[in-house]
Amino acid sequence: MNYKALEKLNFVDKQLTKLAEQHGYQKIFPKSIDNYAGFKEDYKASNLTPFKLIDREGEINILHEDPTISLFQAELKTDKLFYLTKVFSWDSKYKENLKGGLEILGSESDISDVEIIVLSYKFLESLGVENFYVEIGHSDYIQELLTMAGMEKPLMQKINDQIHKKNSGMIRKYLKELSIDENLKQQIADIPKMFGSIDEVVQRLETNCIEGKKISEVKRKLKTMVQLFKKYDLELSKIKIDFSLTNKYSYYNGIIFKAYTNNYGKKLLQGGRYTLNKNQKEINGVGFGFNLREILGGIKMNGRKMRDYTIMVSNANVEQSIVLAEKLRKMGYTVKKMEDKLNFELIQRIKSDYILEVDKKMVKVIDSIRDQVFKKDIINYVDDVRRNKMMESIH
Amino acid sequence: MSLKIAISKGRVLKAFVKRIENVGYSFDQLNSRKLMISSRDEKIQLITVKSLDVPLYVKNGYADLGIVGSDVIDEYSDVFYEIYDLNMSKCDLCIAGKTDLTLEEKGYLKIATKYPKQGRDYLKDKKIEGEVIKLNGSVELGPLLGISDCILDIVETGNTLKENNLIVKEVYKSISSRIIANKIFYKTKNKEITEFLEKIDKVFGGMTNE
Repeated sequence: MNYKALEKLNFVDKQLTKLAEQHGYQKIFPKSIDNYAGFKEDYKASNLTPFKLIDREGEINILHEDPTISLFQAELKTDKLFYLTKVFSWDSKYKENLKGGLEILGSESDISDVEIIVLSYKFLESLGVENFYVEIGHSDYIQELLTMAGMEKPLMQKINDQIHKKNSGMIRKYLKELSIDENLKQQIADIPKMFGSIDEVVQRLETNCIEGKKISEVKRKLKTMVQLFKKYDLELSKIKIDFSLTNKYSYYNGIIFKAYTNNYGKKLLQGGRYTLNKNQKEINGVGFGFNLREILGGIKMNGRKMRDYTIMVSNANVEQSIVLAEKLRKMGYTVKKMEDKLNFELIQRIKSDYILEVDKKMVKVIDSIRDQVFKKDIINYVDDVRRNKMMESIH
Repeated sequence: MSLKIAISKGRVLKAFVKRIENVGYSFDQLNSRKLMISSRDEKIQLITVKSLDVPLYVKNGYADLGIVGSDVIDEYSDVFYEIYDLNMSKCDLCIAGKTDLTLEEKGYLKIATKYPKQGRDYLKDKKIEGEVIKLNGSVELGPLLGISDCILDIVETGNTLKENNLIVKEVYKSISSRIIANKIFYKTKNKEITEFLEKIDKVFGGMTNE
């Protein structure tokens, strides 16, 4: 991992920690490796194929692909938690990755669902990701329409696959042979088109004449969620609905959501409500997780730049350099001190936005953002930085 | 905003361009060595790549849409939307082997193929015990050299099979060129994508999303 990527990783970790702690979540450190026996059923039910290792005693161990599964097996004393941990997943070959996330365990309420979605929103906002949106789906909507059609399980699976591919043409082809209500056929074929703003989709749900217990519950849930979203400080237009949304982890069984940003072709994070087993008991949870590699890519392309400073320190300017570094840190900036002589090669190597060199009362600034080099009185320079920071926060 | 479409070079590109010229898309630099060709009205930009790479361009967001055979698409699961069947470049994905091979009698079937996922799917669908041996080309060598019992491959004319003393044992599935869409750009560029599909539907008459 190069310097910039490492720096971004630390930034993501810091923002996640800050946000989670502000909301009363506790940091935990999930295990990466576990004995397979204790997780056999969970992995069977999840569609995941964890990397297996045989130890010296002949025991089968697994490297976890998804930390959520290991959380339920751990004896946790908290119901609100967050983590950043190593995971191992299959993508042509087994790869090591970092995964972060935030979970509420044990709660089944709409309030928890909303809190997790709002935190995913706030998390992306804190990372400076611009033009992002969070998309919500619900597995019960599809399930109830397909159940109403009374089709055989294999056909249901085929249609389900086509819904997730948004292939209305193929869905219509499968439905053609079925002797069911034309209106129901139309609604199933239209599932791939059930996406857009919350208001739009709720409106379309209202005008649908087919009613079912689960669909009514989905409608009720969405309306409650909208009411609660409105109480938070967020742009409602950034929250959308898509009923053909899926999650590769099959233990999700209610609300599911994913976040995206324009001009970046991968999801930033995903989450939802799930049920897992713990000591033969079903436990509910809701949470979101993100893959470091994916989220870092999103920050690179759309995110606000994170400013930082490197101060060159020598025996001649050590005291002034410390004072300047402390002032900048107090303003929230990252300041690194380097005991080296400034030269062209070093400037190329240092990846900071600003390189500073103090000379008595003056500071030489190499500004890589504006591609400028200038000298300024230290007091005036600190004032300028403070003023610029205030202006940025206003905007 | 122009739509970026990754498309496999060669026959598929030529056939696709020829058809969409009838609905107003025309290209000046089609015969050049350029890998990115824009239509005259700049509404679409074709990125010409190897067919096996089309899903990667779409999945990773370097292209909004992709045009590629369903044989290639089915090697992936749930990473993009498959929104339209162009019903062109049709062929079959078949199990082929030596004349004396009886699939039903094989207790354990070894399949050589360029399509490992579909090879595994075949074994699963048919409830046959076996294994898949991934080869990158010349899969006909599998049964001939004893690497495998049979092959799973695209059959168009059947000439290659014939010349290597192999015959089709079973047609596993029909293949045609499809349009796939990046999951995010399908939403953010939905207006452009819908317009494009409506336009080309006039010449392809496939199974449109709309």
